[in-house]
Amino acid sequence: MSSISDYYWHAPIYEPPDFEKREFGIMNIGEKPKRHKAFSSVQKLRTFLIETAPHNVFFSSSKYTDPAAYPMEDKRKCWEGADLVFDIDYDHLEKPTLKEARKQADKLLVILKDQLGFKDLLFVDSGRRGYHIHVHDSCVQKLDTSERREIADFLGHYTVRRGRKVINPNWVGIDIPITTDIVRMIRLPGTLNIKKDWMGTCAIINRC
Amino acid sequence: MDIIDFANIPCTSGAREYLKDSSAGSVDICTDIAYEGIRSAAKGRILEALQNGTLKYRRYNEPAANKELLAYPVARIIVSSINNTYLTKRYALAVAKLAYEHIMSFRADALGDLAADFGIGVTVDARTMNATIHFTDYIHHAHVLHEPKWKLSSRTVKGGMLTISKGDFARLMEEVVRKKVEFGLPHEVPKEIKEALKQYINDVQEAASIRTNRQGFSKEGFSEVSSGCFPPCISSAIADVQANVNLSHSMRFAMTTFLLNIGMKPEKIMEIFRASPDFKEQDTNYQINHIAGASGTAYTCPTCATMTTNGNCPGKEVCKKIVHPLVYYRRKVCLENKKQTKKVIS
Repeated sequence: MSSISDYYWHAPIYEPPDFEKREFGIMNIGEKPKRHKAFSSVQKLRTFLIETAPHNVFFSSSKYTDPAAYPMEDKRKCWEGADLVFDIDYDHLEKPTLKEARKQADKLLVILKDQLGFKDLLFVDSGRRGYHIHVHDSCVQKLDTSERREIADFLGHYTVRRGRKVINPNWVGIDIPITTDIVRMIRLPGTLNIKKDWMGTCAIINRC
Repeated sequence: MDIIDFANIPCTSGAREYLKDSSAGSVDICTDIAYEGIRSAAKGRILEALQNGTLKYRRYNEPAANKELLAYPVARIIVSSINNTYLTKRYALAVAKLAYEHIMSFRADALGDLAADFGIGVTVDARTMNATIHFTDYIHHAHVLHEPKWKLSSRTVKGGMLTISKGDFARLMEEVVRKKVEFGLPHEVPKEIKEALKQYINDVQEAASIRTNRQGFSKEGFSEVSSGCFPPCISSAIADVQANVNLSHSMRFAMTTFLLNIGMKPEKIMEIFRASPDFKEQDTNYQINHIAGASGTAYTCPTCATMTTNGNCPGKEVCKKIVHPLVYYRRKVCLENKKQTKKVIS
């Protein structure tokens, strides 16, 4: 039994809402990702993770009628909605430190709650380079890519005020495609984040 | 809402109910001699939409409004029978613009009723007439509007809600109406109804084809690549590559798709990338061919909105009304061709 399997015996694996509608995937170092898996319960996912001992585990921010559907066109056909996800990685930031990433994530949390009025957020330490925020509010579930882009632009570097291009006070260094994509795989909280020279845990910081 | 409102905004559920309850069945309206006037009105509205892009705002009395509303389903049947995207879109837009004019005359409670009918919750301040809506309802309809003021980032959002002027709210409702009218078009039309409306359909079809021919853009424009017609984003990307500046991944993608879409050969595009500081012949070749459709999917150049989001739009004044880099190119080539023809003639 590998130590990875050991970890998954008792790991606090996160159970996203509508668990059985989510797609899961795993990726081992140097291998192609394996996707399009679906599980009826966390217990079954846990067994799978113990058996396969993967380096990395992902789940879909989207929900599908048939989450194991493949190819992608079939999956899109049974798309039922998706959480809104934000990713802040320190290596994309102007000041590339983990501390700065945390600062930006905290700023983003305030904007999401006070301005956009979200009430169901999951704040996650990705286990290596930064932070994820998952928005579960029902009002975001059906948003399409261009609507999500409006939200990404709401947090963008610049905005126009009275015909002038100005620095946006809401500017946060998010990874834009993660937020705009509606068929995205995100690291599953409670799982390991293993790279060639790195081992960390993707963990929930809080629900807010 | 009453019959006057229904005549001006015929895609409300109230209007639908009214039509359902009306004594005239859709077959009668299309065939019965008594409804000749309604059929003519339907044709007239479509022709008006084609010609002007809008419908005149008429102050109806009740019988006139009734006639106008009955003409709406007939117009939909005519538009469906012709099945021409340009006509469908132009008609829907004209109906929506008329709705806008009418909505501007609404008081606070009527605005609320209409929005509720469209599934949008709104609070209207009776004094200022400002409308407060949830930001997701806002972006759902505003994201297709291109003026900077419609960006969510140009608005103040608090607790998920934002407040806009009556005019802006009416503009959003116009967008809802446009989508609702366009939705379901073209629909199936039974043979006998098509036959009964033959004359009207032919008249509209003729008018539409004259217009689309004029609007139409010949594919030949793309057979020859006119580098003078590139939009600023693509020109500056090519200039950057040639000056040995490394482009972002998304800009490379945009530039490659654009050049492929306008008919440039992959080999030619390779030549442009050759000057790039990190040029690798094999990789570039693979990527260009992949984008060109080697894997089964041929990609289209990103829209201006995507270019802006990715920071690839130089934001030039000249593009103010352009939504897609290919549209810029197409218009520019069209203009150049016209100039050339003029020169030849003179």
